[in-house]
Amino acid sequence: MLRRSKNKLFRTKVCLVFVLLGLCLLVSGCWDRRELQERNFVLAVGLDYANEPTDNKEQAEQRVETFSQPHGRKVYRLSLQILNISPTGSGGSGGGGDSGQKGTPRHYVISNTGQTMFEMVRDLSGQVGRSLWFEHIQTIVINEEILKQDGIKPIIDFFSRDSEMRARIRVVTTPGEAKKILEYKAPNGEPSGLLINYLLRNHVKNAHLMGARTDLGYVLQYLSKNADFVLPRAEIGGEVLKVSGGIMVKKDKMVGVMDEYTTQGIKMIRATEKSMLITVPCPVHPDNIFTFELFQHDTKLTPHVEGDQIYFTLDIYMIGNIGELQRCPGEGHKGTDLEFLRMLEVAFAAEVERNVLYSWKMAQQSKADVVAAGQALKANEPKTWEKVKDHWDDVFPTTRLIPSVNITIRGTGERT
Amino acid sequence: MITVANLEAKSKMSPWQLALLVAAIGIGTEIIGGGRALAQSAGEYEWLAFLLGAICFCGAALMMVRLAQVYPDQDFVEYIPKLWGKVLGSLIIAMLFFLFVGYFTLTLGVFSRVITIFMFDRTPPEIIGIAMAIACVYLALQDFGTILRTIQLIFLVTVPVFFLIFSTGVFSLQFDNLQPLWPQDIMKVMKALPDTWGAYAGYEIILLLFPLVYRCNTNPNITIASSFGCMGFIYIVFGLLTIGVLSAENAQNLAYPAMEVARFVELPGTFLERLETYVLGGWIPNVFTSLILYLYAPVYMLKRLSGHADHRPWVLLLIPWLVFFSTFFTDMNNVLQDMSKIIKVTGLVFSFIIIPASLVLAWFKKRGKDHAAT
Amino acid sequence: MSGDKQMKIHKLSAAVSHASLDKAKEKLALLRKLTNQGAELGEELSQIVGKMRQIAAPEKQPFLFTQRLADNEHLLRVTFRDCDDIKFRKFNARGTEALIVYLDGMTDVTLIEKNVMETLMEPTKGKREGVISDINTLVNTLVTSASLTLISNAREALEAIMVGNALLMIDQIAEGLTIGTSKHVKRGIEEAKSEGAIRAPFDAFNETLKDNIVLIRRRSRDTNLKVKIIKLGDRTKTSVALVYVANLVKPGLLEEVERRLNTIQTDQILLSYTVEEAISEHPWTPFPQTLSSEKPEKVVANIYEGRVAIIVDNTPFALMVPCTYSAIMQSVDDFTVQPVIGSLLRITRHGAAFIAIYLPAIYIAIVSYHPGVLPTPLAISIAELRARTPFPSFLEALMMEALLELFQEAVVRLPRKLASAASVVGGFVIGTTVVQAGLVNPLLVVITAVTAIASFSISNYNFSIALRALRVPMLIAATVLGIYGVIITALMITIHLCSLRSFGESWLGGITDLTLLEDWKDGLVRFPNKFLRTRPKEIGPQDRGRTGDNSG
Repeated sequence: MLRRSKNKLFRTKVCLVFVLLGLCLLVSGCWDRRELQERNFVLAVGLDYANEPTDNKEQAEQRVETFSQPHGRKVYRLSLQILNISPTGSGGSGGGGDSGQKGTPRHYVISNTGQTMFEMVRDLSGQVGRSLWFEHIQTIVINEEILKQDGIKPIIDFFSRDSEMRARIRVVTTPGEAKKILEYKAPNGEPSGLLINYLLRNHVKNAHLMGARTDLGYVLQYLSKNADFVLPRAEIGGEVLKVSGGIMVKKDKMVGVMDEYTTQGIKMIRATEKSMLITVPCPVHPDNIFTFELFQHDTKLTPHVEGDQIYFTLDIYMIGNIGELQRCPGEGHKGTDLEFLRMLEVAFAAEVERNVLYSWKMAQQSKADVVAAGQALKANEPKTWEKVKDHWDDVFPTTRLIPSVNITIRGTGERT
Repeated sequence: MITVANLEAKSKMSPWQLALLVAAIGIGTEIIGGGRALAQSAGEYEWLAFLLGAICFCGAALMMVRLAQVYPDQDFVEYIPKLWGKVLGSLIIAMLFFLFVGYFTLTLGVFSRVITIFMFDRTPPEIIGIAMAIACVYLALQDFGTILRTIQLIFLVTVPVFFLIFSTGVFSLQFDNLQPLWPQDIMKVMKALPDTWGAYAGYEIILLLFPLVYRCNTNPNITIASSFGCMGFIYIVFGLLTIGVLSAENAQNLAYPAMEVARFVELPGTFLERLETYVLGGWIPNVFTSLILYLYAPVYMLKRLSGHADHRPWVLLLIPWLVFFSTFFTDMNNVLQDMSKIIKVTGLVFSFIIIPASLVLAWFKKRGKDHAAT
Repeated sequence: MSGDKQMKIHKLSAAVSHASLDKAKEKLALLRKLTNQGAELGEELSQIVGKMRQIAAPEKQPFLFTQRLADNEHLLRVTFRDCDDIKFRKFNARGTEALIVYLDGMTDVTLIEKNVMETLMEPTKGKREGVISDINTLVNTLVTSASLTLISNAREALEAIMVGNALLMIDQIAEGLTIGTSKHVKRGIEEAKSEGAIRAPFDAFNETLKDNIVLIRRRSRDTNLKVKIIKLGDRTKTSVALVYVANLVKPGLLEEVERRLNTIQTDQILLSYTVEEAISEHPWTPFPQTLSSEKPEKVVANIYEGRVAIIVDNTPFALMVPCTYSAIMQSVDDFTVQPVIGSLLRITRHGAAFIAIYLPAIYIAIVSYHPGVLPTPLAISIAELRARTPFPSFLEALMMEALLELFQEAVVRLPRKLASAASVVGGFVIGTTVVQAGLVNPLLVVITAVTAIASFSISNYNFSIALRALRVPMLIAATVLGIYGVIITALMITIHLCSLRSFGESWLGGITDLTLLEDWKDGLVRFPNKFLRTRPKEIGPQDRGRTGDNSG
C-alpha cells in the first residue's frame, strides 16, 4: 500500500516537472516572431565619404540625420535602399512597375554619417517605421575614393560578421557618389539594388563585366589570403546606369582602373567567361571588323620555374562561330572558303594573344596580381611558392607570360 | 535461432544495426561546430586528416569489438573490474561515464549556440537546449527496441537529405584552393589527427551495447568498418567542400565554416535561397541521434551498476544536471575550449591506452587460465 | 311556486362528511400511490421469483426446464413478459403436446410450418406411430430441418430465440430443440461507402456476420482459414468472428487476441470500434492501432500475410491486427496498376501525409521567423499581400483551420439535399470572399486548400483524422520556435509513433528497420510481383514463401 502510494506520488511529481517545462516552453517563445510585412527590406547599401554639405537643404538634412558619436569622427556616409511595400499596390499580381506608374516609388533611400557601420545602421532605425532587415540585401556600392584612401577593410568588417548577410552580395564600385546609384530609378521601376544583382549575372556572356568571384564572400576570401582582386565598376551619367570594366584592388586599396579591353584580357586569363567576342579588322580592308563568338574554351595557366626565373604559359583553345562579318566593299569574303577561315583563325588567335599580353602588362604595371598567377604557382609549384610568397608583389612584375592560342571556327551561323 | 522481427524480442539487435548506431552517434555536431579548429590545424589537408582519422579510430573501434568478444554476454561494467581490479576498474568506468556525460553537455551547449546565432536573434540559447533535451528525454524513456527503431528511421531519412543539401556547395568549388593535393609536410597532418577525434566520437558505445548483438553469420568487424567507411566518406566530402569553397586561410577566420559553405550556394531560378537554414534543418535530427545515444550510454551504465532492471529513473535523475551544465557552454568561450580539450584527451587516452592494455591483460589472463587448465 | 322559499343548494359534503372534493382528491391520491406501490411490489416479487428460480437452476441460467410443458411454457412466458413479438404456438404432435416459441420478424415462418409443424402434425401412417417419448426420434426421423441443435439449458434456449431460431419443446421431455430459421431484413451487398477504389472489386461488407464470412470464404477455398465465433457483451451478446489462417498466423498472436477479447467487461458491443479500443494497448494516442476495412479482398490479403481479422456483427468494418504504418498506407489500388505507377502512388501518399501535418506550420515558420529562405521576388510579393491583412500569420492560419474543420464536420452531417448548397457556401466563403474582405491573404488560402486535399487523399479515414488533430499543435510549435520548433515537434511525433506497439509490432519503426530489409520492397514503394515472393518478415508468419503448402 505504501509502495503504491509512493509510486503514485513519484509519478505525479514527474508529471508536474514535465508540465512545468512544457509551460516554460509555451510561455517563453515567440521572441523572434516578426511578421514578413513588419520588416523593412534593405536592398542595397551605399558607402561614401561624408562630405561637407553644399547648400542649406543638405546641411539641414545632414544635421538631422547624424548622431552624436562617443568616439571617432564623421568619416563615412552610409545609405540604405529600402523597399517600399505599398499597401495600395495591385492586388496580389503586383509585378515590377505598378507602383512606379501610380506615382509611389518602389524604393527610397535613407542615409546617415558616422564612423562605424554598425552604429550607423542602428541609428538609422530612427528614420524608419519598421525594423531594418538585411537578409535580402543584393548589392553593396562603394565610392572609389574610399577604396583609394582607406581601403576596403574598414568598411567590410561589419558585413562579414553579421549573420543576416549573404555571401553572394554583389560588390560594385563607382567613381561618383554611391548614394546617386541607390537613388537611381530604372525605367521598369526595379530598384537599382535588384537591377545590379541581376545584371551581374550576365558576366558569363558579357566580357566587359567583371562579375566572376567578386561577391562579398569571395572578397573576404581574398582578403584573408592576402591576395589581390578585382571589382566591377558602375557608372551613372544622366539617366543611364551602366556596369562595365572594373578596378584593381591591391591588398585592400585600389590601384588602378581597368577598361573594358583589359577586363576582357583578364577574364581570358582567369578562364571565367563562357562566351566572348573577339574582333579583328579585315587584313585587306582595315575599315571593316570581323567578329568571332566563343562557345567553348579550354584555358590553362601553368607556371614554370627555371632556376630563379618564373614564367607562365597560357594555353588557350577556343571553339566558336563567326559572329559578324562586316562585308568588305566589292567582293566579300566567303564563309565557305577554307583558306579565308584559316586566315581568320590565325588573325583571331593573334588578337587574343595581344589582348592577354596587354592585360598582363597592365596588371604588372599596377603591381597587382589580379590574374591569379600566385594561385597557380601555389597549386603547381608549392616549393617555389614557399620561397617567394612573402615578396610576391615584387616578383610578379618580373614574370613573363607566354601565351599560345589555338582557335577553331566551327561554323558561320545561318549564313556563310 | 528464429529471428522474429517484432518488439517482444527487441533487446537484441543485429551487427548492422550496431554499425548504424555507431554512424548515427558519430555524425553529429562536429560538422558545423568544429570546422574552424580543424581548418586551423590541418589547413588544406582537412580531407586527408579525416581520412587518416577514420582509419585510426576504426582501428580503435575494432579493438573494442575484440575486447567485447573476449567476454561475450558480459557487460563492460562487469568485466573491467575483473581485469583491472576494483579500484582501477571503477576509475575506468568513471572515466567512460565522464566522457559520455561531458560530451553530451558540450554538444548540447554548442548546438544551442549555433542555432541561436543562425536561426534566431533574441531567443536565449537555454530554451533551445531545453527543447532538445525534452525530445531526448522522451525517447530515452522508451525501451531499447523503440530507441533503436527511431534512430534507424531518423538516420536513414535525414543523413542523405543533409548530405544532399550540403553537397550543393560543389557549385562554388574552386579546385585550385585544394591544390597541391599532396601535403608537403605530412607531420602537420599528423598533428591535426587528434583534432578529428570529435568527428568520430561516441564509438565507445560499442563496449556497452555489444552484449545486445546476437551472433549470426555477419562479422561485426566488417559492419563496424563499413560504418566508419560511410562516416569517413561523408567527412572527406565535407572537408573537400569546405576548403575548396572557402580556401584554407578564410576557413580559419570563420567561426563556423560549414555555414559559410552553405551561404555560398546560389541556384538562380530555383526556389532555394539561403541554404544555411536548410542545412541547419537537416542538421538538427543528426544532432538529436547523437545526443540521445550520449544520454542513453551513461544511463545504461548506471542501470547496470546499480542492478536495476529499468533505465528510466536514471534518465530523469540525470537530465536536469546535464541541461544545467550545458548552459555553461553556451556562454563562456574559454570554458568551452578547455572542456573540449579535456574531453578530447580523455577520449584519446581511453581509446588508445586503456583499451589495448585491457586487451593485453585479457590475453594474459586467458593464457594463465589455459595454463592452469592444462 | 312562489319564489320566497328559495331552494337552498347544499354541498354534499355538508350532509355526508366524507364526500367532499378535497377528501375525494386526497383519497384518489392515496389510491394512486397504493396502485403504484402495488405495481412496484409486483415487479419486486417477480424479480424475487426469478431469483428463486435461479437458485434451483444451474449457474448463470435464469431457470431450469422441467418435464412438464405447462411449466416450461409458463417460465418462458414470464421471461418474455411484455415482449409482444415473441409468439407461442401450441399444437398437438402425434398425441403429445408441443410448443414452438419464435421471434416474429426474425424467423422464417415458412420453414417452421413446413419442416416442423407439417411433419409433426402429420397423422401416423403405419410404422411411425406412438407418443413421442424420446428426443432422438425427433432429431433422427421426424423434424426435417437441416440445422438442428439440442439444448438442455435455459440460457441457450433464450439466446437461440433472440437470434431468430425457433424453440421446440415437447411434453415429458426436459430438453428442447432449436431449429435454424433465422431470416431478417438486411442491407444487400453494395459498394463500400467509406473507401473508394478504381479497379478493385466493389462488393463490401454489410452488417450481417454471416454474409461477411461468406464474402471472405468466397475468396479462398482454404480449409486452414478458420473462423472462430465468440460472443461478447453481457447483455447484447454480439457475435464476434476471428478469422485467421491456422498455418500462417504468427504463433502467439491468436492466443493474445483471444485473451484480450475475453477481458472485455462491457454490457454492449454496438460498434466494432468498441472492440478495437478494448484490444488496443495505448488509449491516449490519436493514431489507429488496428486496421479497419470494408473490403473483403483487403481482409483476405492481410490474413494471408499472417494477421488475424476480427469481424463484429452489425458493423461493416472488419478489424485486422497487428497494424503498422505501411499497412495503413497501402491501398488496393497500388496492386491493380503497373508497379512503377503503384510506387509513385505510394510515394504520393507518403508525401500527402507529410503535407497534411506540416505545410501550415512550415508556412508560419517561414513567414514569421525566416523569410530569408524565400527568393527575393517572392518575398516581396508575399510582403505586399500580407501588408493588407490585419492579423498575424498565426491567427490567420488558426482561423482558416477552424473554418476548414467546421466545413468538414458540416459536410459529414448534411442530408443529401443540402450538400450542393453547402459546397457552394464553403467554396465561396472560404475561398473567395475571405480574401476579398481582406481577412486572410490568398497564399494562406492556397496552403489551407492544399493541406485539406492532401489529408483527403489518404486512404484510411482514421489515420487522416489523426493527422488533422496533429496540425494545430504543429502550428503552435511553429509559432513558438519557428523551424526549430517544427523539427523538434516532428521528432517527438516520430518518437511517439515508433513507441506505439500493436501486438508486438512497432507502428512506425518497421519501415526502415535494417533487419527487415526484405520488407522494404513492399513498404515505401511497390516492386513488381516478381520480387515480392516472400511474405513480410515483420508480421512473423510461420511460412515465408508465398506458395501453397503441399498438405493440400
